[in-house]
Amino acid sequence: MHIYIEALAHTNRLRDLPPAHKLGFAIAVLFIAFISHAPVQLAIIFWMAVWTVGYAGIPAGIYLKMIAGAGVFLLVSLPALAVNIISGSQMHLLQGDEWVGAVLGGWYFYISRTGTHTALGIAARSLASISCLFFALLTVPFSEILQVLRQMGCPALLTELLLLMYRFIFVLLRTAAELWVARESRNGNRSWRIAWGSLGLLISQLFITTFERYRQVSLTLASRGFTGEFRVWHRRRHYRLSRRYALEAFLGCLVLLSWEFLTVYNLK
Amino acid sequence: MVMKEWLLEFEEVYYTYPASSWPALNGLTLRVPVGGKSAIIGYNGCGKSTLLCVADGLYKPQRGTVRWQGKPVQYDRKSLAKLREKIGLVFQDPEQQLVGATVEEDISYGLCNLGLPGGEIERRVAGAIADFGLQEVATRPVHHLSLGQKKRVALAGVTVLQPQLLLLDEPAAYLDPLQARYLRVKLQEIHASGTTLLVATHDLDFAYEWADWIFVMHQGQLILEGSPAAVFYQRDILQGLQLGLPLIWEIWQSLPEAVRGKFGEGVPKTVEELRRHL
Repeated sequence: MHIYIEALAHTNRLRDLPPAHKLGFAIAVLFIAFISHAPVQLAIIFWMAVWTVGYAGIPAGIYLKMIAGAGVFLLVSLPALAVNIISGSQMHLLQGDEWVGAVLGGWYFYISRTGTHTALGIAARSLASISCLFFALLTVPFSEILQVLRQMGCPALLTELLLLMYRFIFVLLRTAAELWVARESRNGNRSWRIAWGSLGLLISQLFITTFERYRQVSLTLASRGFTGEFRVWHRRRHYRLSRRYALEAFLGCLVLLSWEFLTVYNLK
Repeated sequence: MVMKEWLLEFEEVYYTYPASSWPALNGLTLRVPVGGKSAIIGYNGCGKSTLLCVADGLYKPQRGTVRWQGKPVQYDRKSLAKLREKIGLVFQDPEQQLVGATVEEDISYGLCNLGLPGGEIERRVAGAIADFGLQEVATRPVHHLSLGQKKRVALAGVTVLQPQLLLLDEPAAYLDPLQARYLRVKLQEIHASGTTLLVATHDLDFAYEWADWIFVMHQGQLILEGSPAAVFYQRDILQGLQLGLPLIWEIWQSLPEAVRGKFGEGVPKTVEELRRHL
């Protein structure tokens, strides 16, 4: 999955826009998603989907899969908010909060109205925030994100760590995949017991290869003149600022903000 | 007799890895001539890679001296930094060698460490990219590249520092014949610009065809050295070390005496020479 995100970030149609703008836009909409209410958040979900799938050209299937991945987490946590249990003797305290309920033993299980309301609100907010995050991830290559961070004055230690993590996470994933294939080809998956044992072996092997890789990389860094700071250079890439996208982004944020303030004002 | 200048010398060097029970380098004495193309051959595990790492100052030998341009290597930070400006080491596995996120970043890493100004870095990186034909992949992340491309980037990242001595550990490992030929061309160019080359390899055919001077290592010691012809005439020693001989050499030696005698002492180094001889 990582690898698809990577490839997409490098080949999407919004590649030439300045990364600072794309990130700034994503953060601005993220902020709006935090402070606003459900109708605006739903609009954000739709609008960011338009940006991601429509303008950037990310395949809809992949985008939906990613959203669904986040949705799984929501599905797991939302019922806990909506469903309540109280003891049978206190049923009269509910005052019509329940939608539908059932009695089981001495306990009353019910789906609460306020709980559902809260759960849906959280779902809307999470999905809106996630769609902003995915827009940033899918349209800005990681090395450019790092560049923006450096320009913003992010501490060098943090950017160095991010850079090295980024470089080597793919090595880790590939090694894990190779170890997996090796165990598959030797029937390491035949039964549950064997599979668990193989998984344990795989994890311990990953640790060992990681340490070995760390040792090798330290040698390499030393041989290439490591001075205590991990600095690299990049060519000044020429980004094209698109008025059309900038205008839409700006106007869209204004519309969302005013919609939000109007609804809040009306509710009062 | 002309006194050859030695660029790098090992004198009775002993080195044992921290958790190991036997020495990787066992009293190694070796001298690398200036401006030459030398190859170290030996079976896997005889200490070739350790030798290269000790040469770059990455490991400090427990006994013995390593000399660079006649002076013993000092193991404090500043001296090592200076040493590594002049010696470049390319590891066998490009995965280990590449540390930048993109190709440009990786090539520029060594230059940034030297503290060169931005304009100079830009110039040199552009030159390296053009030199190694990496224009299309210049801004791509390193893990998107094929193995051959990674090897090119690894070599580019080291040669861009213009070292006086270039150490290569099994440079042709994992390369297909076309890439291996390309590598030979690049090594020729690098050598022509004045860099001394030292290659550790177990590929006898490559060493025979390419090198001016051959070192034969076994169990951490130097057994034999000389020009390729001189070394490979010592058939018994080489077979005792389980090394064998280059293919062309074997073929030539199996031809009848009458055929060989016509062409004097020299042994052909490549298939073309063999064809011409015949």
